[in-house]
Amino acid sequence: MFGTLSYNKQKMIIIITFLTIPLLLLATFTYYPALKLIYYSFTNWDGYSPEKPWVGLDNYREVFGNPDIFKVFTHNFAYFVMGILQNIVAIYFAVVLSSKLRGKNAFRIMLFLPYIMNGVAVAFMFGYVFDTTNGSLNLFLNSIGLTGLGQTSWLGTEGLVNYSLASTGFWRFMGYNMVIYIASLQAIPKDIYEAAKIDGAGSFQTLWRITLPNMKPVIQLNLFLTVTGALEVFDLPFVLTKGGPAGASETYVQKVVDTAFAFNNYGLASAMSIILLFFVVIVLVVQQLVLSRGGDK
Amino acid sequence: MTHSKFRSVDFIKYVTLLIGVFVVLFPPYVVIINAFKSTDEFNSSSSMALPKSFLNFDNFIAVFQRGGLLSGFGNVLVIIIITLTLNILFGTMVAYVLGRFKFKLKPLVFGAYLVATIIPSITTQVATFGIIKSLGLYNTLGAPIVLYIGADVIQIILYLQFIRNIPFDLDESAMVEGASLFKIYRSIIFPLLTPATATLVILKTISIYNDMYIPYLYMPKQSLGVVTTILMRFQGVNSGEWNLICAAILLILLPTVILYFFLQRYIFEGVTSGAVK
Amino acid sequence: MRNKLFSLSFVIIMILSLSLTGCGSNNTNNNAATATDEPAATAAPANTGGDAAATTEPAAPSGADISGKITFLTNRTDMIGKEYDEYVKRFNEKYPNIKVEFEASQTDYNQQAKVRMASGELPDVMFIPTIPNSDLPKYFASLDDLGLTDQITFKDFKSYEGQLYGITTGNSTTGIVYNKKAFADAGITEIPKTWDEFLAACDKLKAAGVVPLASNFKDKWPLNDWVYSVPRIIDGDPNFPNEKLTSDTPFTMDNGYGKSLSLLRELNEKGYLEKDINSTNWEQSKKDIASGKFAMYYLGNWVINQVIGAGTTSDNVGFFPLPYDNSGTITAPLSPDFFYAVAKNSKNVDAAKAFVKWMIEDSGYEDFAGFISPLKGKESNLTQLKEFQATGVVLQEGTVDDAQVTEITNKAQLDLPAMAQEFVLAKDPQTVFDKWNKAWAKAKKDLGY
Repeated sequence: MFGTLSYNKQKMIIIITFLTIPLLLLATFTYYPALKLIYYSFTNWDGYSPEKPWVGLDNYREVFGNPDIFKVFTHNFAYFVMGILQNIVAIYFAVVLSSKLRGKNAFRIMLFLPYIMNGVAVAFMFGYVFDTTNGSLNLFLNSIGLTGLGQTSWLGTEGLVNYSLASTGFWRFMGYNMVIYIASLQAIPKDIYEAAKIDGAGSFQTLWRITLPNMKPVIQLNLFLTVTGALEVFDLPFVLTKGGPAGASETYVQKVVDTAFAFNNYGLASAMSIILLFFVVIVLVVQQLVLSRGGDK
Repeated sequence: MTHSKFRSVDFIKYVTLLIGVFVVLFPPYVVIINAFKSTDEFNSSSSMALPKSFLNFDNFIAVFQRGGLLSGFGNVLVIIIITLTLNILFGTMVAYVLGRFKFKLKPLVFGAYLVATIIPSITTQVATFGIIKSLGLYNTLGAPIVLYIGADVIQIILYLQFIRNIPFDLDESAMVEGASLFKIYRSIIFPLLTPATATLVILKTISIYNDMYIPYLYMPKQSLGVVTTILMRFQGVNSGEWNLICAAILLILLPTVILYFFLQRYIFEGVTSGAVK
Repeated sequence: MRNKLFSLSFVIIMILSLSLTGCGSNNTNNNAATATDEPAATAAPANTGGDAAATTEPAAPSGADISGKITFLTNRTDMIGKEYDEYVKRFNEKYPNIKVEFEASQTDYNQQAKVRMASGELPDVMFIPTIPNSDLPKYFASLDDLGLTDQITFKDFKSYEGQLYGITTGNSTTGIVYNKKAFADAGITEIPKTWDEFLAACDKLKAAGVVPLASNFKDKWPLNDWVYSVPRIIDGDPNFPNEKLTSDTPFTMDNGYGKSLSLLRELNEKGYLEKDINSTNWEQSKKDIASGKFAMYYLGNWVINQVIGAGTTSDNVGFFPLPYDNSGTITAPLSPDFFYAVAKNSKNVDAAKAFVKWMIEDSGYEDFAGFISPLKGKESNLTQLKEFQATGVVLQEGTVDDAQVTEITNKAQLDLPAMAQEFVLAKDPQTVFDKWNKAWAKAKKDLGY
């Protein structure tokens, strides 16, 4: 009987049996394809034929020989800014909706609603929101008297287009982040709050001293995802602007996908993906260093 | 005195919430109004104009008659049930091991889940496709299921956070009574993770339900359509019957809203506080 | 959250479908999927294929002899459950033992097809993605035994070493599709025959408060003709696109590319396109053309049925060739759409071939989609086309893309419609040409051509 084994033996068995299948899944569907990607990056494979000619480091040389490729990362900055903002707003609403408040369930449902919506619907809707001449956003701005602002070409102005696109992501995923934050708020034991109350802490103090520190792992994770998401953004510009006007909203991953499937150069695209991975890792390591220093006080 | 202060705080809360709700509801306006327009009306009126009647359900009926939608609901339901059962099982198992035991490879396991997040999946699809095909899962419901069941890092972190707050005393007193570690997982940890599980059930159900790419790439067979791929069929390459699509979008939205509405009460009731004490 | 990214990136692609809404269903060559490198064809030896094959037509077996189940990967997802059901019913009258199933591919046909090719998981009947013609025999069965080789148009486009691998699903010419009432209301009594007359017409339309030409600039694919076919008709040389091979500066102001794009730029500068060309909406534009808010499109004839479907009558929609200069003699391009192909490894090659043949000869798909028939000499039912041809226009067929040109294009990551966007928006269009000439010359040198 399992229960009669010593706890140490049980521990061994549990660790092995509980981890085998999940790790196998991870290895098969995430790491094996990633390894393949590394292999492809050393070939000039066209993406479909059986031959995958080895070319060594040629693809990497080509990417670094053409620094223009990296210029598109400036477009990604907007997604980073909006991502941070999205998290701040999500935390705010999570805290508000975890407090005693009439109708909070209704508000939770409402704010989460965008995440439920289908991607097709989102793209369709925002096509109409951002339209310059007939768009609902400009109509609205005009109707409240902001006629100057109501002429804006939200998707056609360089410098603005990425923020418009990123705000679509904000709209869609804020509620998701909020729910994650609410869930993590629930994990904070109630007695801590009661103790704080007895000590006479104000609500702001409670937030700053208890709530936020307790949410740290989740906040950190969401920050991590914000950064990654900003670097790897692809769908929004692809759907709404096709990278326009004149490439002002093109993103790196979009370039990768084009290279692979439109220009039949899967090898080069793989090298570009691997380089992106390195960038993400570097950014995250930096973030980790900064955060952990801040956490030490 | 404190009374009035609280009121003003509440006032700010409500104002910000209402702004939030307005922003949320602003874009869907166009979908909702166009779902009630006939084709002629859709063609002749501005996309922003209100429909003649909100009682025109012809589009909704047409969506159902075009068919496939019911079997689409069926297929996606099967996928979701199987996926969630296994995913929750695996997720809690991993979280239990990571949250309760110390062992050498622990950071590595956690790191593996974290790093998995940053691999851009779009670029690995060729290899993934090859695996699915060699497993014989291509054009079966098994393909999306195996791709969805793996635990993801947010799930693990959420569970870990809950496990951390389950007092270890509970485990210990169970051990004193001679319970096996498996029993502790099954009768203490797993039930106490319920609030997190409920959240994850909602989030995952929604993301699976709305995912178009995996079903589209891995099971293009007509009889295996899910709601998203069926929605897609209303779109021609140059021509979309957008009034129908809008109606379909609303129809598809309905089950998730209902699900969310019911489950959210359960989640937010805060099962934790009662159980943990 | 991997999940979030996952679903994000995927929903994304999914969403592409939305963008594709904007894209050509009927018009592959106007399709975003293929936009970047139009037909990735090689210079196949053209004339040898037909004759050999025509003689080997199988002794027309009766339909019931062929049996099996086939799948067809189609981009016309809107026809699944509608027109396709009806096609299958009629098809089964002739071939009762063939079962046809459809698979939907809408978001990015090219991408999906290539991912499947990489794993050898092809449907029995499909469209040919953008691969060099030299790769065709690796994946597809020769179609010469269908006995259609001599009757079909564009038979050289998807051939290799004398074997036919792809048959066009339908063809399109490109011209000005316009709202007749909008023209009449603006006081335009005759269709413009020169560029100056065209500009004058635009001016009248603009004065009447109508947007003269809906470019759908933002969606990029509607610009395809300006870079793929207008340059060659302006230059009067069907092979013009391939002549890039011999040049280090293929883009100059005084060749086809410069002249064609300058026309588009001029229209924009004069305010004859949408008010904000970076914010256009394809679905909405069809309604606006139908209602007369917009007056014209410059697109393929496939769009005519869609404009009519968006809320007007057939007799209100006209079609005439674009007068790209002041000479008065006009040429218009003729281009094929997607090409049908049959997978070489199909378990039911005969059934798949029978289906392709039936689609070409009997389905009536070209009329539904508003194409010109893939078969030679078959009259189109589209009244607008007769009107178009009555202007005395000469139709110019393109030539097969040179494999080396395609290779350089891919290496240089040259996306012509995207270049057109840059050209129109740039302060100094010459800088755009300089940039791409440089990229072209470098790619050409790197490849050793």
